[in-house]
Amino acid sequence: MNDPTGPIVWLASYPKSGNTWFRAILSAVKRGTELFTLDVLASGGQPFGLATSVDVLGLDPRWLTRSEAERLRYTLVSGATGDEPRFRKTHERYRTTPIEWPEAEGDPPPPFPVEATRAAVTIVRDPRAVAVSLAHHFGKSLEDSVDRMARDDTQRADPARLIGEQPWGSWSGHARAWHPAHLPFPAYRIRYEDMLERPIETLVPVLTGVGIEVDEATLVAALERVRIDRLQQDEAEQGFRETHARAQRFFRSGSADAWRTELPAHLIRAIEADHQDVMAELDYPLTSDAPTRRATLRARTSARRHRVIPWNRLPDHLALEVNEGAVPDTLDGARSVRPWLDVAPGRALVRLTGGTRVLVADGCRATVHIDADQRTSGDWAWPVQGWTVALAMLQRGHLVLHAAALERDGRAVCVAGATRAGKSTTAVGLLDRGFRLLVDDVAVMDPEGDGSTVLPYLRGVHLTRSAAERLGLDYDNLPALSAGRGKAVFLGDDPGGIPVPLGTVVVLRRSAAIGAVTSRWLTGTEKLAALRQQTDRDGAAAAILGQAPYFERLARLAASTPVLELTRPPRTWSLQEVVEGVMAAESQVLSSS
Amino acid sequence: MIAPADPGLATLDRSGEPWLGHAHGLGTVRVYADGRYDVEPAEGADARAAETLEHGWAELLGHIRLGRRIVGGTVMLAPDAADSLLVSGGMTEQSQACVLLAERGWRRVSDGFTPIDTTTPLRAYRRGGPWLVPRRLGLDSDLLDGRRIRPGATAQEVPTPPVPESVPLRARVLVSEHEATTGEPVPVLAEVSGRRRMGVQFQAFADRFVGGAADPARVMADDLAISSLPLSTLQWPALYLAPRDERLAAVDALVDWWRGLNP
Repeated sequence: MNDPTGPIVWLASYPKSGNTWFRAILSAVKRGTELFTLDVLASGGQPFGLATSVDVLGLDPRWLTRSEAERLRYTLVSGATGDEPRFRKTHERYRTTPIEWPEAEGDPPPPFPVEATRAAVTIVRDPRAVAVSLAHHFGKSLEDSVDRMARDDTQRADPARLIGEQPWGSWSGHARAWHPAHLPFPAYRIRYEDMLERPIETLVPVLTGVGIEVDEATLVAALERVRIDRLQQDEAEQGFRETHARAQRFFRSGSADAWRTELPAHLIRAIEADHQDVMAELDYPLTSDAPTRRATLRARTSARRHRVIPWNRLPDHLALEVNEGAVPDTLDGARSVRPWLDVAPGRALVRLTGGTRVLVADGCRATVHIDADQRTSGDWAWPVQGWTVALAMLQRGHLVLHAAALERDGRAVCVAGATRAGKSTTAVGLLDRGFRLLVDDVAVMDPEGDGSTVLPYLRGVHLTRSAAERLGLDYDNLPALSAGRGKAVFLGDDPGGIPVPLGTVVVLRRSAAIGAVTSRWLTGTEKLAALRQQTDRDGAAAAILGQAPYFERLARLAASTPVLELTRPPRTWSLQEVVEGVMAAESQVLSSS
Repeated sequence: MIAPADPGLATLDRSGEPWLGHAHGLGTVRVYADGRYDVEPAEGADARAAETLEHGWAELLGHIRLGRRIVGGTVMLAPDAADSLLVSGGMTEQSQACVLLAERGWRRVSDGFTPIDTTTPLRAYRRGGPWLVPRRLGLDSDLLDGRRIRPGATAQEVPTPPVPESVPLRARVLVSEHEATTGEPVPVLAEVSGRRRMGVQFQAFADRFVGGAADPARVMADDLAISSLPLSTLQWPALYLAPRDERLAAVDALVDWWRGLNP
């Protein structure tokens, strides 16, 4: 291994963590307070930027391949010589190899070569304060900043814009990567908060350690010159080239505690859930307890999964293309099955509240119109994953059960029921008992042969606040369902697309009377009526399939499927009782078969 | 001299005559005091190695040897005028603005890094070879086909009609892009004056070590010369936030501002 004998001192930090303030202190120490100017901060330029290549070699790097650019970076970094420490700011996460390197090129050059390095100073700041500062700096919402800090993705280096590519990773990932114990050169880790509270004790050992001799008087004078109010004044008078286009100013407050008033409670919980381990290691006190953080983490894991799926994208195995576009108010030649539903041969039109309309044609394509004033927030996947799939599958000849479908041991259980019966809550409750969610709300059945199957597809579960809290999910950290529907979306694991044989249908009912959960098996016409209610509640099935084909399919489903009615009390009810009722029914069916 | 380094890419020896540059796997350049140069691709180098060495390296060094400064930015020549606009900013942002200008009939003189003569009036020199812009420019334009200039490179070339060897500069614009979704809207186009113009000017030159502009008087004179150009900033949202029409309108406003200046 090479020795760290070079002149470079990496000033490494996550963005908005005090790196610039540290550089200002350094400049004021090295240049003197009289010559200090905001636009000549120490180590402002990256050692591997586009301009640096022209600066040092006269070479325009845009012509280069990725691997040549990585070699160029090595040339520029390792070209630094001399005894004086040369500070290099970086927001990159520490790594030992390029993000992308062709095997045929042999050993890759290290991005942070040890032999060019003297030491590293890593600056960390409370992530709750970083989130607030990032939002102001980039003109982003606080939610966006908190999400950005949790993402561990890294961008690839791009020769055409080298300086723009600084893969940060997540706040925790960054802090771990630059942990002094993991680095192959001497490193000093300082907390921004300590620089504020105890600047002399914090900075003198670090500066001395990297080769900057400084006496206390000089440092005190430098600190006075770079007081936040004086930097703000400099920026107001002269501008600052590192101020982002939309930021009012670069130097905002510099406060360690402003997050307490600026961050909403659910985002504080989010940050603490995302970064709890590293925050604890760095002595940043957590305000939430462990169960709360677990609930938040579960919600945020779901939210991240949800975010990467476009609202109009359905799994490939559904073979259903959805586009946004113009949709008529009415369908020519159609029968109005309900005030909101028109059905014509091969076509169906749904008019939803708020002006959203969905036109489904030939079982394979759909067009969605969303009114401009309705689309500002929320999750617009629900009419696509719900109505669109249901109508398209009916057009293809399937039955659709208004139910959550779950699988265990290769058999599906469908939890059906009217709106607000508690289907989704029960479904998520069953997830904790070893079940796998196949789909929520729209169970596509294929009642062929001796038994039926359920077609799974990834779809969000819609939960009320109380349902989410009952299930140990942080409601405020789940994505909201669209336009004031008072529900949030929970997205579980992708169930894949292989049909699962149907075991039992459980019909949940809300009783008017307070009492315990009761259950009974349905038979004969009661069973048929219950299944009809759950497969044709809007009249869409009979209208699209035709009366005779619909009843033929319904009869086949009823003949092959046991149906249990579970009745629960109206308000406070025991999820555990319902879940145990479902599991008991499943056991009974299995033992009898 | 930059010390040879392995696994580094390039070395440049300026201690003798001619200047001698060597790039790992690409080849060698020799650049003479009168600005002439020759290039020698390495054995087995790809088909465009010679162009890479010439237009990506030797040509810039040739300008430097003639005493010209290299400024970060692209120079576009107006369709019905004899002078031009220097477009600075991030490589993506300046390229986006210049492609839109090209759609309006402007012609590229240089791109990315521009050789200029700082004696008044300022003149910008043509860059040989193709016009390079990032391959993922995020801009829908008939001028772009996304083909890489070399296998594994991330720049694409844009067709551009011929221009004179050098053109006078009338003004400069600094383009920046943001992904901001909150806060007060900022003016898309804003003229910059006074000390802020000097601030924006800082570090415009990209050849301090190679070009040897170490003479403080020369640096000051060059800075002042380029600061004398009228300067505007163009700030627009990231492309996925701002429709193409909005950007074209911003570029049209920029052209109006440029036309309003005295040639």
